[in-house]
Amino acid sequence: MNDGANLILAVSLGYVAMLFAVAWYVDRRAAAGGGRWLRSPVTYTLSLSVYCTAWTFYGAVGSAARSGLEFATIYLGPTLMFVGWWWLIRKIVRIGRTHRITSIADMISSRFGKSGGLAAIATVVAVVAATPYIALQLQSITLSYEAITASGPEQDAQIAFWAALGLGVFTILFGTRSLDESERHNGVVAAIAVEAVVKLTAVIAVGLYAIFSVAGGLEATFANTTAESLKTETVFGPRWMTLLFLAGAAIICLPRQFQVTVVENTDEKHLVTASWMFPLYLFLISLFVLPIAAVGLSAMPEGSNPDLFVLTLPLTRGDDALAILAFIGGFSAATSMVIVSTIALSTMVSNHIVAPLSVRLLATVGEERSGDVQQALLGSRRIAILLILALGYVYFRVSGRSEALAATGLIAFCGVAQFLPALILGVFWKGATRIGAIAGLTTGFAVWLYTLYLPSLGDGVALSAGVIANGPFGIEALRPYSLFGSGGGDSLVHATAWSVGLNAAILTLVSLASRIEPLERLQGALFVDVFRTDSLSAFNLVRRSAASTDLYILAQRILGASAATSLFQAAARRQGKKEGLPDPTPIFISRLEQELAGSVGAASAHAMVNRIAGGGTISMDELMEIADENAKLRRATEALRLKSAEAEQSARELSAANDRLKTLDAQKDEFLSQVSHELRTPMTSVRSFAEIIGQNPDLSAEERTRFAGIIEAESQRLTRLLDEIRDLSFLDESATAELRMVDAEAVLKAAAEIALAPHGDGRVALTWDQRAGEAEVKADPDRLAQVFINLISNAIIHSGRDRVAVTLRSSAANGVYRVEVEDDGPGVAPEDRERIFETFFRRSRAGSAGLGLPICRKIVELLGGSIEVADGEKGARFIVTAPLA
Amino acid sequence: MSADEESPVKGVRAEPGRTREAALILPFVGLALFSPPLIGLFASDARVFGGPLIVVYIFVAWAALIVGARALSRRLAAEEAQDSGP
Repeated sequence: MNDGANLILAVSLGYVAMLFAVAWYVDRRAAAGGGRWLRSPVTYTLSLSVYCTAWTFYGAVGSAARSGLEFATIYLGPTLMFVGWWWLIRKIVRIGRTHRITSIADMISSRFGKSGGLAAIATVVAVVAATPYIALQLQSITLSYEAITASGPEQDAQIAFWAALGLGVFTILFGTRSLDESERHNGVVAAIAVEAVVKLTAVIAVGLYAIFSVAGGLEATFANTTAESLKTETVFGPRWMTLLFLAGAAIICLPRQFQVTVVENTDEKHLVTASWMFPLYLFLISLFVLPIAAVGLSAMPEGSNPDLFVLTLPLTRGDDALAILAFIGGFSAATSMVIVSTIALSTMVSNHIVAPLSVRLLATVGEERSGDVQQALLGSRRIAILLILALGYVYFRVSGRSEALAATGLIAFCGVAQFLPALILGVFWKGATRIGAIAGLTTGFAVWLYTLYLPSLGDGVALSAGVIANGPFGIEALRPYSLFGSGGGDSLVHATAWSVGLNAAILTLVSLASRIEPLERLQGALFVDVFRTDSLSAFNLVRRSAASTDLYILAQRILGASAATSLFQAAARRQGKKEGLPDPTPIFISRLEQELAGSVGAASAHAMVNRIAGGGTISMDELMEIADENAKLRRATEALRLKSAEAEQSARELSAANDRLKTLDAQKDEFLSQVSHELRTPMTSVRSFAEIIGQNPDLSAEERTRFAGIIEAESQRLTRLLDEIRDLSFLDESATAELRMVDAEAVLKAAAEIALAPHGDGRVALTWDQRAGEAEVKADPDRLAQVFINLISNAIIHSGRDRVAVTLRSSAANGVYRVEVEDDGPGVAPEDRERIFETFFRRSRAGSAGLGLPICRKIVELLGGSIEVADGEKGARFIVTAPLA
Repeated sequence: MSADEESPVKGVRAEPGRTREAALILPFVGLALFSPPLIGLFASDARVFGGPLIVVYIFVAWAALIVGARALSRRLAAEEAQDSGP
């Protein structure tokens, strides 16, 4: 293209301006609470496609042209991981959301006891591993720009420099505007989603163009493709499996993938869709790689760089519009990677390296201002973004542009795969320890550096050609590409096997040999059992105390004044306080720490809170309850046992109630039959005597009078009987008979007079043995009198003799009013003593129907007293008690 | 399509937990499809629909995996909705 440079510059700037607009608009909408589409599973899936960088866009075709089918592994690995999301990704996303994880370094350090050291090591690993990857993007932008403007490699440094600077500015503008408590970047995610569509469209367009316009059909496209050009004979070997493994690991271990998959996840359900839609995206973007490579190999002149076929195929044939689309596609792929990568890495650097230092520094300076830590961290993120880009730029300058894009990318993949052992063992094995993780990660990182990263910089840059060929100091066993003589094959397979293998082995062995600290045990349990444990239950475990004002100042320094204020107000409301600061309970302190962790990472938040609240203790008993599977099982079993015991208990109660009801029913039946029998007897005699009088008009007046007397007596008996039955049922119903203060002694005296009246003077000798004097009880006086009358009458009636001696005693002591009625009759046999209080139990035919004593007992029980019978000196002694008022 | 949409729910009622087991197994099926020796069986010069057999195999297997994952994800979503339902 003749005026290519200006046009491409204009197009690139226009495209970046469009991304700016999208990101700005979405941030505005999100701040206003809108942008629902932004939180859709499709946007989530598209943001995951930040995996497809310039390596995919340009490098995959180059890889296919050089190594045949090998390129597919880079997309098959992630496909398998997402298809199997139920295993690992689902768990990591849940953990990330629960514990407000801000990066992969944060995840690992948080799991291993919120270790600041581990977080810093992981950050270093991530930054170093990212440099070749960022260099790759700069290289592809540079190459594509030079291709489209038909300029030579002499501009390399300049183009890459401006590209890096431009990307840095964009990232700073949209990635570090605030220290968001959730670390989510709505605007950036939207821009990434747009870029995902652009790069896919461009690849498909070039692919269709290659097949149908250049080659003229599918048959012709693959005309020169043979088993040999696809390397089918050799490709499915160790390197194939290694690449599948590395790509699968990268999809979760790459800092930017962790960022979009876990940190930017707004809804766990989005994973369900992404589990098939993201593989579909990878499928589509890979579909045209082989056709473009095949067509490029046959249509392009010998010696063209296959990495650039996507761009140069339309360019050399004069299809400028498509070439520009291809350039924009590649530009999209490169920029989205750099933006998200630098955001993720700068977050790590500021949270895990700058934050611990800055708090220490700010503390020594002594002046503590609201938001000062926040400002320091934001500033450090901006600087970190530029530094990371600068590192990428340096790597690009140092390593040169000779190597294929894919090879550079794989170095980074192998680097981030060092996180995999700590990540997987961390979320599946409670026994993995901090020391083990540090040892494993450091070893893996060192081996990776030595066997892959440093040699990749080129001979003589970090390692001299002699060291690479003969080992350091001529020790052959330590040759970077052939550790202990194991080389001979592929250097990537060699480096991966040694670094990841040693990493995992050392992590496991050291973990087994080291002690688990309480906080590690707690975090391990919370991570491994994330689907079963309520993380809130752990808040109470760490016992710390601090002044609320100190915590408030800390929160203000990290979150800024307004965010801290609303956080503390919400906490105070939760504690039920209308105003003022919340109480510094252990739960509140832990909750605050988690809030701060969302901004500065778990390790820094833990260290900062502990600076104020002291190290605190962890309640081991409660920790064991959470951490120990057996304890959990025991607890569940115990709960189950209690529940079944409860069920048994209520079943027993139910059956007892049923028995009681049955008995009552039987008693009622018996009562009714007794009542009818009792009524029948007087009725029968009334009827028969009435018949005699009616049918015998010649009865003598004397007899007539006698029969009438009997009829009257029987009628009276009937009336009495009916009265008693009515009393009994009345007492059944009105449990709350009218009670008032009564002078019980007066009632007793009146009752004795009434009871003696029908029996003439001489027959009964009543003796007052002892008087209580003053005694007030709460009772219905008529009913209380009825009790005494009944007892005295019974004593007279049942004596069976002409002369009866009745003795009355009453006393009031210990809050109890007590009356004894004693006679000199035959007494009550011990076996009858309970039964006489049952309805219709009679000792003799004399007197009433046998309802007197049951009525007495009912009345007395209503007063809260009791009635019983005991042996008297000669006869029976009835004892009535009632509580004194 | 409508039958396809209804079947997951029916399946869930009939066999709870089966879908999860299938979701756990699917990636291993995929791994087997893309690993030797299985993938080596298709490494020949044969052609299908104008393309090399091995290429067609990889993409067909890939597509099948995606279709399987999609079917499972719908069933899993239905199951989750039931689990956390009223």
